[in-house]
Formats: sequence, C-alpha cells, structure tokens
Amino acid sequence: MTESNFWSRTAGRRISRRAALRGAATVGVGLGGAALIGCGGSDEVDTSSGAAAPAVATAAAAPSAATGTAPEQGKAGQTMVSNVVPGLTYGHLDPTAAIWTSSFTWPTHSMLVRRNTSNPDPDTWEVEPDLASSWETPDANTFIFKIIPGVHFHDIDPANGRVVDSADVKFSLERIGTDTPKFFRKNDFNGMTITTPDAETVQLSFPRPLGPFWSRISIPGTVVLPIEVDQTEGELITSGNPVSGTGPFIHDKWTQDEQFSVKKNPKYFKSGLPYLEGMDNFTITGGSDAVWADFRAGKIDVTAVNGWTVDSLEQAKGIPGINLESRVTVQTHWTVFNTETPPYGDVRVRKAISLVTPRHDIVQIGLRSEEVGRMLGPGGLNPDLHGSATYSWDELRTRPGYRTGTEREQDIADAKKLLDAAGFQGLKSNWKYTSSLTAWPWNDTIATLMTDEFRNVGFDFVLEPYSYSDTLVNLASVDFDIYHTPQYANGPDADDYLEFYFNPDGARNYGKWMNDKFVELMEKQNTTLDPRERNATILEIVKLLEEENPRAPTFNNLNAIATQPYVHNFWAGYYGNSIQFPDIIWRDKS
Amino acid sequence: MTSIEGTTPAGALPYGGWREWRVRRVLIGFVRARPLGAVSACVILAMAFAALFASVVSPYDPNLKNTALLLDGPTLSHPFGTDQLGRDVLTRVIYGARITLFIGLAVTAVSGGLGLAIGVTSGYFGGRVDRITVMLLDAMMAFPGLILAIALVTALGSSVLNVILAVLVGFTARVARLIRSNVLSVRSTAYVDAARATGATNVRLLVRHVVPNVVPLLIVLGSLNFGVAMLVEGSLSFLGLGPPPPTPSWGRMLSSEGQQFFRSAPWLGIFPGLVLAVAVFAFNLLGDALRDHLDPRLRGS
Amino acid sequence: MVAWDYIAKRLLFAFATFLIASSAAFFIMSIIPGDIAYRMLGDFATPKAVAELRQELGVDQPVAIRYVEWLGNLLRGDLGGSAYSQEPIVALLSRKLDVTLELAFLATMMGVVFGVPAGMLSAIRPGSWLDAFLRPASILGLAAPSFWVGLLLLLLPSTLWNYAPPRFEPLLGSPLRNLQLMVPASAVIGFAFMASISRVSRTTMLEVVREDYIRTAFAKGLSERTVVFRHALRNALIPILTLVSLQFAALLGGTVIVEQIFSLPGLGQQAIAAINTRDYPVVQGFVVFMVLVYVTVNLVLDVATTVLDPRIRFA
Repeated sequence: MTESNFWSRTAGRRISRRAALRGAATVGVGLGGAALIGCGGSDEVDTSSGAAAPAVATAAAAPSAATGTAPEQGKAGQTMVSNVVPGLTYGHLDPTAAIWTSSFTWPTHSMLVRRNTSNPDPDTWEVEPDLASSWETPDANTFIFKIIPGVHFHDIDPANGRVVDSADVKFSLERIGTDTPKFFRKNDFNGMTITTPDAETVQLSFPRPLGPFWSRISIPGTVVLPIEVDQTEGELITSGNPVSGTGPFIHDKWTQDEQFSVKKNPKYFKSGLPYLEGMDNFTITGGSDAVWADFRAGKIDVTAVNGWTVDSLEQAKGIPGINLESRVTVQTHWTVFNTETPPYGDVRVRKAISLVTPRHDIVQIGLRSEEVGRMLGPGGLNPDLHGSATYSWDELRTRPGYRTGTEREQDIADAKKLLDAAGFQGLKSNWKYTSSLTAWPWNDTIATLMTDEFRNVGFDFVLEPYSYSDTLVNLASVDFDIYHTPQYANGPDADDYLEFYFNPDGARNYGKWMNDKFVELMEKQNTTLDPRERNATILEIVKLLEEENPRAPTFNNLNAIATQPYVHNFWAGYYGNSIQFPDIIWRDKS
Repeated sequence: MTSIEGTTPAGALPYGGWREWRVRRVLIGFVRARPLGAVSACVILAMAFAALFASVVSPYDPNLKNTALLLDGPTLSHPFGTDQLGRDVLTRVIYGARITLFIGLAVTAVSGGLGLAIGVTSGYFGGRVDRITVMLLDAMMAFPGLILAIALVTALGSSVLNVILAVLVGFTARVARLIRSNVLSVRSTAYVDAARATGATNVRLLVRHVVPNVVPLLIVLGSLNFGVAMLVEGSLSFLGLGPPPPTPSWGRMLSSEGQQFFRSAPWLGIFPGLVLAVAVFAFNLLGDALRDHLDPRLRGS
Repeated sequence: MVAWDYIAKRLLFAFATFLIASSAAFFIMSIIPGDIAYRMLGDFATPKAVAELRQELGVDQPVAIRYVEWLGNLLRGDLGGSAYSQEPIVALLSRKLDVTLELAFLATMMGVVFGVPAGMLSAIRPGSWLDAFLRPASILGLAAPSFWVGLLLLLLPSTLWNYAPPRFEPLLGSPLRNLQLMVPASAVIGFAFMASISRVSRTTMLEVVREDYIRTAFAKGLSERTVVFRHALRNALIPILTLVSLQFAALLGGTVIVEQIFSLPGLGQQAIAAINTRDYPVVQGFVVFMVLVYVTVNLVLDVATTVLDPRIRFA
C-alpha cells in the first residue's frame, strides 16, 4: 500500500469515515505524500495552536514511495501557497521551546529518524531513516546511529554550508534536556548519555529501558540543529531568524502573525526532492469563510480551515475536483477540575460531571458531525491514534457517559445518586471555557449544550469565555474551579498525553491531581519496551483514569484539509504537532 | 450664526414650565415639522417595547433548544429561521434588543450625566480647573477608542457591565468636551451676564440658566451616541469580547453564528445585522431631527 | 503677528496631554491579569518556569519601578523592543503603519471625493429631492455596522463568483494587486467616513451660504458656480479640513475590524495581538504613537486656526 497514490485510490469513492480516520490517525497510509494539518494559521492570536501532523514522510523511503507515484508527479518548480501552518503567532522558531514551532522547523531541519508512515498499526511505532542512514541496538538501552556522510547545512547563518557532524546531533539532543524554563521536553531523555566515537556515529545510552524512546526520537521537535546555535542563543532561533538546517527547504521569510515561507534546498541529501520550489504560508484572519473565499478564488492551493462546519464540508464535497478530508488531531477538549477545590475534590462529583457530559450532543449538534470532532476516551486517548492502549470505538460507546438512549438516562440517574452521596446541595458558579470565533467557533455552542445539561443535576453555571492565551494563564496560575478547554499533546504517543495531563509534575496537570497507583503504572509503561505489552499497561491506566476522572474528556478535534484539483498526493495526516510536507507531489497549476 | 428660516423657532427648550399642554404642543410641533424623526422615534419606541416585554412579545423562549429544527430557514412558525441549537432567531433578536438597547442606554445615560457634570463644571468655572479638566479629557480622547475598549474588556473579562464600562470611557470624554464648549458660549451670553448682575448665586445660575441651555445639545448627543454605542458593542462582540453566550446580543449573533454559518444559514447573520442597522439608523435620524428641531445652532456638532 | 506665547503654552499643554495619556496606557496594561511569561511558555507554563522567566524579563518588578524606568526611556525617545521578538518597537510599528496609513488614506480620499460634493449639492438646494435622498443616505453610511458591511463585501463575491481579492502585498511592490485588496477594504471605512463628511459639508455650506459676503457676491451678479466654488467652498473648507484631519488621526487606531476581516497586517491587528499576548511594550508603543498623532494633529490645527484667525485667541 505504500506504493499507490492515496488520492488515486480514494478520490473516486468516499471511503467510509471510519476508514479514513483510521488511515489518518495511524498515519498508516503511506504515501509519498505528506502530511499536514493544523489549525490554520488563520487564527487570531490566541491559537497558536496548531496541531498537526502526521505522517511522516517516507523519508528515505522516498525513493520507493515516489516511484509508485512517479507518473503523477507533475512538474517541479512551483510554490505551494497555503494557510495551513499554525502558530504563526509564535515569537520564535525554536523547536525545543514550543510544540508548535516544529511546524516551522519541519521543512528546514532533519531528524535522525522519522516515523514510518506506511505502517498502519497504531500499536507499533516504526521509524525509517532521515539523517541517520542506519542504526543498531546492541542492547535494550543503547542506540547507535550512523549519520549520512557529507550532508551539508544550508548555506546561511550560522553553519554556512558546513558538513553535519555527530557533535551537532549530540548538541541538539542534549539541548532538549536543558533545564531552561522554555524547554518543556526536558524529561524526555532523562539520564541519557551521548558519545560520539567519530564524526558520523552517535551513541545514546540509558541507565534503564525507555519505552517511548522511538516516539520521542522521531517527533518533529527532535531536530538536528547546528552546534553554532549554542553561541547565538537568544539571537538566532529565539528571535525568529533563519537557522541553517539540513531539511528539504531553506528558511526564507518569517513574519510573526503574517507569513512563513521556505524555498527549495538544492543540495538536499535525498536526491530528487523536494519537488516544490517553495512553500508559502500566510495568515487569514477573516474567519473560515474568508479562508474558503480565498481557496475558491485560487489564492491558496491547500487549506486547513479552522472552524469548518459540516455544512462547509458538505458544500465543499459537492465541488468537482476538490479533495477534502478530515484528520484526527492531537487536539483534545477537556473539562479540567481543580481537584483541590470543593466540590471537585470529591471524585463522585467529578464522575457525575463526566457522566452527564452530553458527548453525543456535542458531536452531533455542537460539531454537527463526526467529521469535525469525535468523542474522546478516558485519558484523552483515541483508538484511531492509540490502538489497543484504549477502548475501541465499539467498547467506548458502551461506557458510562458515552452511551445513548435509556442507558444515558441511567447515567444521569447514576450521576444524581453520586451527587447525593457526596452531599451535593446544588452549586451556582462560573463555567470558564475557551472561546475563539476563528479557531473553535463551535465552543460557545458546546458550552451552552453542556451547561444546559448540568443544570439538570443541580449545577447552575454562568458562561465565562476566555481566549486561548488567557486560558493558558488561568490554568497555569490555577485560577479556576472548573474549565472546559482544548489542549494539545506533544505527540501522538499515549505516553505524551498521560505524562503531561496527569503526572503529578506534568506540565498540564493543572488540577493538581495525585495518585500513587497512577505513578506506579506510568513507571511501568515507561520502562516497557515491547509496544503491545506497554499498551496493555496503558489500558490499565486508562481504566484508572476513568474511575478517578481527574479531568473529564469531551471531544477530539478533527481538522479538514482541502486541496485544489491540481494538487496531487498531498496527504494530510497527524504526527505530533507539526505540519509536515515531506515529499509533496504537486501538479502544475495549469 | 443664523438660525434657519422656516424651522420651529424653538431656540432652547423652554425652562419656564413643563406644563402638560406645552409638552403636547412641542410633541405635535415636532411630529409635524420632522415626520422622519417622528417615524424613527416610533421605531425606537417599538424596539424598546419589544425589549421590555420580550417575554410577552416573542413567540418562544430564547434559550429553548429544538434539536429537530437545527439551522432551519425562515418559515411561518420561525420567521427569522432557527439557529444551530434550533432556537428561534426572531425571539433571540427580540431578546437581543434588550441587551443591545440596554448597553446603548446605559452608555448614553451615564456618559451624558458624567459628561454634563464635568463639562458644566469645567466650562462654567473656567480657570485652572478647566485647563486641567480639558487636559485630562484630551488625554482620554487621544486614546484609540476601540483599542481602549478591547484592552479594558480583556482586563476585566467580558460581561455586560464590563462592556458598558469599556465603552463609557471614551464617550464621557467626548460628551464632556462638547458640553464644555457649549457652556463657554452660554456663559458669555447677555442673559447670563444680566442674571449675574442681579446677584444670582453660581448654583442658581447653573441650574436656572446654564444647564437648561445645554440640555438640547445633550439630547442630540445622546441620541447620536446611542447608535454609536450599539455599534461599538457590536464591534466588541464581533471580536468575541461582547457579553458571553447564551446571552442573545445582536453583535454576537452576527459574529459567532452569522459568520460561522454564513454560507449555509445566511439568515443567522442577515437578520441581526439588519435590525442593528435599522436601530442605529433610527437613532441617527432621530438625533438629526431633534437637533434641527431643538436648536438649529447645533447643526454641525 | 504670531502669538508665540500662545503657541508655547499650547505646546506645553500638548506635552502634558501626551504624558497623561501614555501613562494611562501603561497602567491599564499593568492591571490586565496574567503576563507575558505565561504567554511565552504557553502550554507548558509551570509556576517555577514562570517565576524564572519573569525574572529574566524583568517583569517581576513592582509597577511603580517599571513605570519610572519606562517613562525615563520614553522621554529619551526609546520605546524599547517587543517582549516576544525583541524587534525594536519603532521598527515594528512603522512596518505595520504602511498598511494602516494606506487604508486610512484611501478611506479619507473616498470620504472627501464623494462626501464633499454630496454635502454641497444638498446644501445648495436644501429641501430638494436630492437633499431628501442624500441626507438619509449619509445616515445610512453611519448606521451600517462596518463588520457587517465588510463581511458582505468579502463573502458575497466569493459566494456568487468565487472571487476573492488578492492577498496583501505592499503598495510599492505591486500597486495593482495591492489596490484590488485595499480599495474594497477601505471602502468599508470610507462609506461611514463619506457620510460624516457630507453631513458636515452640508451644514457648513448652509451656514456660509447665508453669510453677508455671499449675498454681496450674488448681488454683484456673479454666477452661482463662481460663488459656490470661489467663495462659499473656500470658507467652508476649514471645518471640513478640521474634521478630515481629526478623523484621519482617529482612523489610524480604528481600522482593527477591517484589518481583521481582510487579513491586513496593520497596526490594529498588531495592537490586538499584543494585547492578547500581553506584549506590553508593543501595546504601550502603539498607544504612545496614537496619542502622539492625535495630540500633534490637534496642536497643528489649533495653531493653524489661531494664526489664520486671530479672533479665536481671545475667545
């Protein structure tokens, strides 16, 4: 399946929704095409968020993937214009300092290895070569990477065309672990020691097994930067200046809030790539209709429309030639409880809220379809992305809080019983939530749906909307009792979710929840190397989280990507949070 | 400045006695001389009536969901269609009048009252007080109004009260500044001098002579500001900073629902927008008519 | 003889106004909860990380100390740099100013080109059918919500003909493409602006037309055209110019909505972005700039009228 053009297989018939999602989620469809997605740059300030990504490229596999699609390649020499890169509002281009910036750095930098997109199984995590041509694992805790000899950095500051050295890799990986406030991934490679026997060899050693090693080494934030960045810290990356990388594109222009563009790297180490002459992303601030207007007028070739509604999707589908698809994202929406404040310190109250949450209404009425968003399982995990680490969709629909009909009535009755048992007398309070007319236009509707439902069990909430950036402040400073908000995982690995949201020192454990059993199980999965065995442990964690409800999952945002008829094999998928366009095949505009 | 022939020589509002027959005569005179203004006043009154008695006038409950009729176009039972939660748009527009008119009214009344107090004090007493006041007013006016409102709402959070506060600051400064210059010219008129010569106290002068003379200006400004305040509220809501949902406010209906469903359900954006435009239009027409009628000298203010 | 005293006093006055307004900006920004450290850390802010970054950025100082420091720099003409990108604020604002300036200029041009003749026409024939049409029409311009007009202007052509104006490019780079976008965008503002200009023109013309010297001019047997253009218009120009310059100054801070709808990278968008990200130096720089423009325009107008018409000084 690696060989065929994704669109050539699916364009003619609408594949089932589930299948499409599965493909997306797992990043399984291999295509020479690439991935991308995101919450459009079309956003106001607060959404820096993006989300994105996928499927990585068929990296070294490019030759094989490309071969299959060769006849479709079309002419090179065009610049792809889009509004898909999120996070244009970020003030810097440092991939280590914010998840979203990897969207900028993907095209200009390389990693050691990338996730293998042709593996459809969400339970395993395969990688393929990028800057590293090969690797070996002499024992479970040691990894030796050989980097491709003679790869040049871009001919701009600070490396100015110099050849990549193992010292660059060592520097880049150690930089991730730097104890700087801005570096959120500092625990990713805890205890790692790096040695560089020669200029082309890098050896990583860990004191104990690291379960998520392969996902961490291949998420887009783990790029190889030139060691000179060390001396220019605060000057280069942090202020948005271009930094020489080894990626298929060279950083060309970046203006905060406005534009991000790259041009072709003529000396890219994968020969024949990239096909495109450049990529140009810009922000559209007028809302999803303005984006659509631009797309229909041919101003943009590929678009990710924030706030697509099912109506827009349906309309778009009716237009011949336009390719359109929804992709699952790592953007998750939660009801976050402050577990140190009554009444949410009581697990029965949290559970009641979770039971009463109208998840089906949120999807069917709030989002108006499963193509815009889907229910989110306990722990925030989604079977499309996390496979056996969580309940399957069929199982999920039988869980309390996820059911319909008489079973839902049962859930509401149970919630009332739980509240009675907790001595709950009714509460008048504020429902803080994240509202953005451009990024999540439906959030206001969903807030209305949810609070109407909670009124039936005695919660009288007044809506209190906040922008996304205000939300971050409110959460980080624990200025809330209860909050409904979107959050982004660092990567698609289940571990990324659990670490951030629930670990006692997790950066996004805003509710201050603690649980010894959880810590113990996390330790176990973190040190389990076999992916299926690890997923079994994670499923135990999911069940624990379902009981404890430290935060109630609501829904998972999907993003829609539309491509013009002349765009071929552009595949949008999800990988970590970055947008990726590895081996785009793009037909001439004419 | 000459007054224009043919207009009712109302000059200033009669401050002698507000007897009923006089009020009626003034009203009849206004309706005859300014039919357009009278029609506008009726439109405004109708809207105010609908807003006040929304629960009686409107066919549904503004927050009543109807999942069987999501985004349904205009029909007999829902003349303005339904929204994404199946709520009746007409009902929400009527209830929206409550919020929008209330914000307009609050801003107009408070900025009018404060502006009058500041403007009269500053203009009448003059001297150092005046200079400092003018400096402060100028500083307030120098602020880009919408940006100031955005910053304030961001700081205070979005609620009806905060929106009013945010809009109020700039409006008060403008009203006070205009009232002050009006007071300056009233102060130097012959009859104020005459009254002062007879030994009238400052308080008496202010209450009997100065204030009644700036009232026409205040009324005119009020009716114009009313419209502008509604537009500012709309702009804030458009940027997502208006009163929070599910409060039906015209600005928010236009932006969050109207924009989101522009292509599939245009009625969500068209009706609130039209009603807002009509309301502001009516207030402007009324303001114009009042200005012409009450005091032709105020033309151009 | 120019009253230097008056001008000096007026300058001092303007400076005080400027100082008050820019200080107010500083304090308003400092009451907004949350600060830049949280924004810069984004999703991964932990109390420890925030504290460290705040110290690094110097925002952990008390407001009073930061104020004195900021004021000192301001008086030395140093607005500082963006807390995010370190880009000097003067450079940042002037980069964005181009767009807003062009928008304001085009809108003003539209307002003047259509508004003044409309106002004159209805003033020359008060009560005529033309007057009866133009007056409510101008009120309509003031009444139509700009965000609504803007959306319709952008989305209707798209819905009907799949047309969208080209993406923003600098005027000097490609004037034609630039204008295709900027003309409809500025028309949204120009519509309202036109309305207020035509109203003021009408009022002033009405007054001027009744002045004695106009009667004299007619009495001399001059044609209506000569009287209107040579005498009346010239005298009506001062209030119109006053309005235009004040409105122009106000426009520089009032293009936010249109910039948002048409995706224009202007001052307004920058200001909102900076408010949202709590990039205080940028917001303050923006307000300082707007206040400076306002105060200067007022000052120039004041002095100009005084110089032109000495009677005003004694009023």
